[in-house]
Amino acid sequence: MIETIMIIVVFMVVLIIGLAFFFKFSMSSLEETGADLCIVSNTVLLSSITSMPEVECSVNGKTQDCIDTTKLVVFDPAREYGSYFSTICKQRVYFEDVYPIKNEEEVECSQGTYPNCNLYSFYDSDPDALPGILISTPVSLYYPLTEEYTVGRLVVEVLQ
Amino acid sequence: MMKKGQMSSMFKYIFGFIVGSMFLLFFIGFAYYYMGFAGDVGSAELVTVLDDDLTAFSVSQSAEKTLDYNMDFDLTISEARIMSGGQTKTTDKALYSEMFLEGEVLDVATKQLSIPFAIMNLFYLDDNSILYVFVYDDEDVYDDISVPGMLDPIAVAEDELNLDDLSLVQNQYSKIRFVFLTSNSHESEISSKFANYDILEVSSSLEDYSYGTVSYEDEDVVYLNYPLLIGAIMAENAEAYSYNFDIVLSKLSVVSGVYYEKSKLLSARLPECEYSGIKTALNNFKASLSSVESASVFYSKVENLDELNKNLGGECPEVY
Repeated sequence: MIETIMIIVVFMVVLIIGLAFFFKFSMSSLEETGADLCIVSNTVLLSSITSMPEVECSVNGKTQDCIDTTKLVVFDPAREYGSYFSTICKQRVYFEDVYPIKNEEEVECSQGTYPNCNLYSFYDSDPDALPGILISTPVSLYYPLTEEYTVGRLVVEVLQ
Repeated sequence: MMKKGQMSSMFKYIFGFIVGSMFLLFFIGFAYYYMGFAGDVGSAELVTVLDDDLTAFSVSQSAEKTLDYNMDFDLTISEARIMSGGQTKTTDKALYSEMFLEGEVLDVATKQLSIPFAIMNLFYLDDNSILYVFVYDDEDVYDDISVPGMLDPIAVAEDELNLDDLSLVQNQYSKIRFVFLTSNSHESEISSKFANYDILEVSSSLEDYSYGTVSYEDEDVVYLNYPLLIGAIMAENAEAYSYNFDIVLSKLSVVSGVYYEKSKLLSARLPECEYSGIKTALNNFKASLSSVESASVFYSKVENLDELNKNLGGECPEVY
């Protein structure tokens, strides 16, 4: 009788250890899937932001392939939409004016500093979070006041 | 007589049977749990990937494609939520489709809505379970609407509508949806020949039908431009259309606000330019979005804005 119970107990212990490992690997696999989806979502986001009517250039109602910097200055997605981007993880989004170089230092763009600035903060879902993976794409920045175009960069920082 | 600690063979068999059954039940339960868990993960991936696909698709101003995820899907689309297998993805997109979609492939189309400036992309989803029949008295109107080809619609002039022929194919579809771009004089004939059908009547005071009203069985809704008309045609019902219409108006309000702020900025930086007219018009336009009850009144506001914007240019950049 005792031997039988002992065999069952040993079997149960082995089973529990096996299940614990199984769930641990399942969870890490699930986390990996979540992280992959997060990167994919933010890469998709990167391409879609440039075609958002809230920031895209337009002439007589027809959209153009550039970013209107006056719209970047006056539009605040966090204020208008709250948690705007429907991706599964948090991100920080900003535009950088890269060339021609206007300032050696980073100058945040606002109605006061525009157009003598080079950083347009766009969206930050968690200002305290540390940056993780950084993805970016070149964009054309349009300045309607002077009708000039500059080379810019749209950056999405996936937050940790 | 057995010694102390010994078990009878019968007891051993019963004991073994009970313990074995317990293990068996445990593993069967575990297998079911894991299948459910894997299904949940698959469903969560499906709704997330579909939303991402639509987001990526929104880069196009007008496009169609077929999504194939190498699996049978069973989707519920309702109130800006994409649901499958108990998993839900809330989205900010305006999605027009039947409430329940199923099959192996999903047809998707998108069109950018501009009233008068670009607002957002509208999305149309279809599983080919409905036959759309457009009845017109002016073919140009039907052509202007530019109905997505994925719907594989039948378009026919009113005097050539043959309901007998159509009734022969009705069993291949879950429903036939008749869209009258003219007055409907076939209601009783349709009701006698078709088991599952919808009738929508489109009316407009404009010759090109770009703004107007769609009448469902029990409710009328306003549409503003062709992408919204297609949305009204593909929506499950008036309620589903109106939910998405509110999303559109909310987005229109935000974009109008952006242009209003932009006009203020331009006005401040370029004092020699006359922006006061368009500034006021944009502000009034935004304020009027809280209640859009008449397509023709709205159309006149859009025309006014367009006129003011076109008067700008050169040294004084257009607002949109």
